[in-house]
Amino acid sequence: MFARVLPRVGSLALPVLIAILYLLPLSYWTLSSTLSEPVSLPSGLPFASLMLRTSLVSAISASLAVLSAFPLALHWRLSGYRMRRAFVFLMVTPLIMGLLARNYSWIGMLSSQTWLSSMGWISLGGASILYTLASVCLVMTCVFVPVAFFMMIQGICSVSLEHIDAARALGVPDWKIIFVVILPLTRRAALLAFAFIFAMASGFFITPRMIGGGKYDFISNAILLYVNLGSFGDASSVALTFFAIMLLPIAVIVCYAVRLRHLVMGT
Amino acid sequence: MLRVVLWTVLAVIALVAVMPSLYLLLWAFFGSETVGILERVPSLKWFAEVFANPEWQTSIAYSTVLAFVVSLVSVLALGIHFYCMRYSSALLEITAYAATIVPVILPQVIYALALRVLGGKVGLPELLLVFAGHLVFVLPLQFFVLDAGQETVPTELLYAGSTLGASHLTNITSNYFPLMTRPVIIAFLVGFFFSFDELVIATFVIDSPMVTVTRRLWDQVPRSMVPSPAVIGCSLLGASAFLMLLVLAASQRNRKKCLY
Amino acid sequence: MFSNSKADRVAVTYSGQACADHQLAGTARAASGRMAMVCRVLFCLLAALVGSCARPKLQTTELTVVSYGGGAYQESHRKAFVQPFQQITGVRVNSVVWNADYGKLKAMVESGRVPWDVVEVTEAQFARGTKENLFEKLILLPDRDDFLSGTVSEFGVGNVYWGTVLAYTRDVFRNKQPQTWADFWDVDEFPGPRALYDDPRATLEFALLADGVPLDKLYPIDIDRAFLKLDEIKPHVRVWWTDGSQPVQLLLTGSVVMSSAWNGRLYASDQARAGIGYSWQGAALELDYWVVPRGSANTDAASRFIFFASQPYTLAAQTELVGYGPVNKAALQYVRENARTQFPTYPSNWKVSFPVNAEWWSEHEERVKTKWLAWKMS
Repeated sequence: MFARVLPRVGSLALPVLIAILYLLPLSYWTLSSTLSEPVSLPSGLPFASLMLRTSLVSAISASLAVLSAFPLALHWRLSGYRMRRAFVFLMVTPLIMGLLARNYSWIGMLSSQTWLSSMGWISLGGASILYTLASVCLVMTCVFVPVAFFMMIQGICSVSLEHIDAARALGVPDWKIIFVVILPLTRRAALLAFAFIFAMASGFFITPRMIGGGKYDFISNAILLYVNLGSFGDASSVALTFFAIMLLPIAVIVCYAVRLRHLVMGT
Repeated sequence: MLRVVLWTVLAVIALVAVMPSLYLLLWAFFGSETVGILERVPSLKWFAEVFANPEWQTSIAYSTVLAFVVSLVSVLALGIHFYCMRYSSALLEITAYAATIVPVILPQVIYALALRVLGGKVGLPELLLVFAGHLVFVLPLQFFVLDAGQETVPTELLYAGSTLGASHLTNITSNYFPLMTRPVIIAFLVGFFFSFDELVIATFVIDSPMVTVTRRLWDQVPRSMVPSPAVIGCSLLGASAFLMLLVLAASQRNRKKCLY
Repeated sequence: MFSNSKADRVAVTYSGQACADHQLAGTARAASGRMAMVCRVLFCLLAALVGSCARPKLQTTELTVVSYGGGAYQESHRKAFVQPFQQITGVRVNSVVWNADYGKLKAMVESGRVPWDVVEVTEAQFARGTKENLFEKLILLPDRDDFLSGTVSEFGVGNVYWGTVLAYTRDVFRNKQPQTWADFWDVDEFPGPRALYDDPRATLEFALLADGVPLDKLYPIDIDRAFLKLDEIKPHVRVWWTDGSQPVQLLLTGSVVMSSAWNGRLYASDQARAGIGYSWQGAALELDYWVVPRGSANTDAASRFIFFASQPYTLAAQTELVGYGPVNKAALQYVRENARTQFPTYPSNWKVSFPVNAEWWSEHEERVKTKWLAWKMS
């Protein structure tokens, strides 16, 4: 009997652990903030504008990250063993070196007379790219490209090489193969990657602060402002409102992810 | 023509993605006290400034031990979870999966604030709060890695062991973990580095002198822009490269043993 | 002070050795011979006072001192306060870094779990914290007559005055340099991108100065007038800097040509001294206070640390490293002349600057910061 019960008890351990460590603090905070006094945003706070900017920049960064990761994932799929290892090494290195360090790195590169800052200078018609919305989107995209890559390669594994060979044998040009064969099979993985990255990017505060020059604050920057001022009530109000707005998209993403979990995990 | 275009696009994307890491290497050796301005001559003075400083040593030790323990606990818990899942229903599997991915999707700031408020009201020790916060964010990442590695262990093999009278403990130690060695090691390393780099929980929860490496870097930001982040990044890269070489060497040795 | 008790003799001997060994003696050697002798005698007397008061009675073995982190400021604390105090009293001092997050301090005191013993807070936070009963009364207070007016209270002792000045790139403005905030706002005469601190404190005052408001008529701040004036400069502000080292980086890399900046950052950096000029006209002066958070377990030792850190010689040692103005009037005489001229409290600098009204800001900070956030987004 013990042998039968143990796996069932063991399989409950993880959800219980998550419930205690994660859901309990969240529930306590939500209840204590809503029951003690009515939730009201600080007077004068442009919450709607902050939310709009957060969502817009997160959506742009997520889209660009997925679009950038797609050719990388495709080449990974079509490459041999060594090339695949090289791709993985390339994508893992930034994750190892740390988020804060990478933000500093971008400040250093874009404020010096490097070829990248010159390219940005040309594309913006003479203005430097650093401390603009473009730089925030660029840096956030680069931060998320490795994440998108690892999610996309799981989905792109569903693309059979035989299908591609068959299409080529039938004389189909490469660009058509991408649009007709590869994209339909990988679009779900791409959507899932977009959804995950959008949700993660919405909670960012480091990059908007360091790269944005103080002009492109996110919701999380406002929460941090009130925490630093000692106004935990206001911080909680802003965070609760943010949480309530994100609840529906999060629920949709979780359902979608559960339904397509084989794409995330490659099983 | 299309291939040329594709390769060019690929090269640009790869370069832009990797450039920050390359700049960090430059900055660590050629950096000055202001980011963006490089010296002409390389030096190791910033490495000396970090590694010879007792406060940095404490932070590095703290972060390393914390990341190690968090990653180990997480990987063990997940390993056993996935084993138990082989004997459980699909509903439990879905519930566990959904519960695990929520921390990734919900903005970290909200959870960090909630943890801080609960910890303050109940009087929980700071170390426990930091441990809990790190564990919650490491679990989903390792979940994905270990779930992808489940295919290396056929369920029939585990059932066969159970049928032949092996206890679950024997099954885990003799069948399951030996076949899962590589995913477990990768998951452990992923969890370790992610926990080491975690900043949001550390910013909200830590008040004592004992701070993690990333928290110390963040606290330093308002006052100086010296290349400490680059030093830490390069050191982590060096450490991970060393560990990977060790793992590769070990797996090569094992393969030779199998062949001969 | 010099009794015959064994403990006191030990204390005097120990502190005498501390005098001989301590690196502050090296700083004293840099001054003139007679002044050096006076410094050493004074330091030894001080050490003996703190030692004899502290050593027989202090139960504490460890003290947590919280201050701003990174760079020269933390180093100055370590050299001028932490190391000598440890040597004299035997109490181990843990240095914790914080970024003036008032919320953190308040949450800590309200929860009753206070791991911090001594905290360095801004004047506005001191005013607010005193009203909210966040600080302990100090057991040992220095003589108020030795200090600038209003910088010593039963809940805290002033440490240094620091200034937010107008800084500019020397290379860009070779012929005519901007000197006032009106020049900062004059984009025709002094063209180029600017940077300002991402905080309405001091920035609103600069806007009012640029609009012609005299130094002594800044408070209470006409918020609407200040924001209207800021609307003029907003399109030219490239960066709202948040980190103290940012203005130096922005000016040296050419990202901006003018910026508000903390004078200590300009003083402490060799690169900044070479490439950046600055003006004290209309500079905003702010004061830092040493306080003991309510609920600290080491109030006695914490008070003695604050007393020690407020003495002229220790303050002089610290301020010479960071370029901030000591509030202990006697400290200036121990600082080299060429360093003294760069302090906010130097008479010619003090005359053309204004102290930020901490009382006003403690009452209006949250409201104005919310308005600031909304204004930046508009």
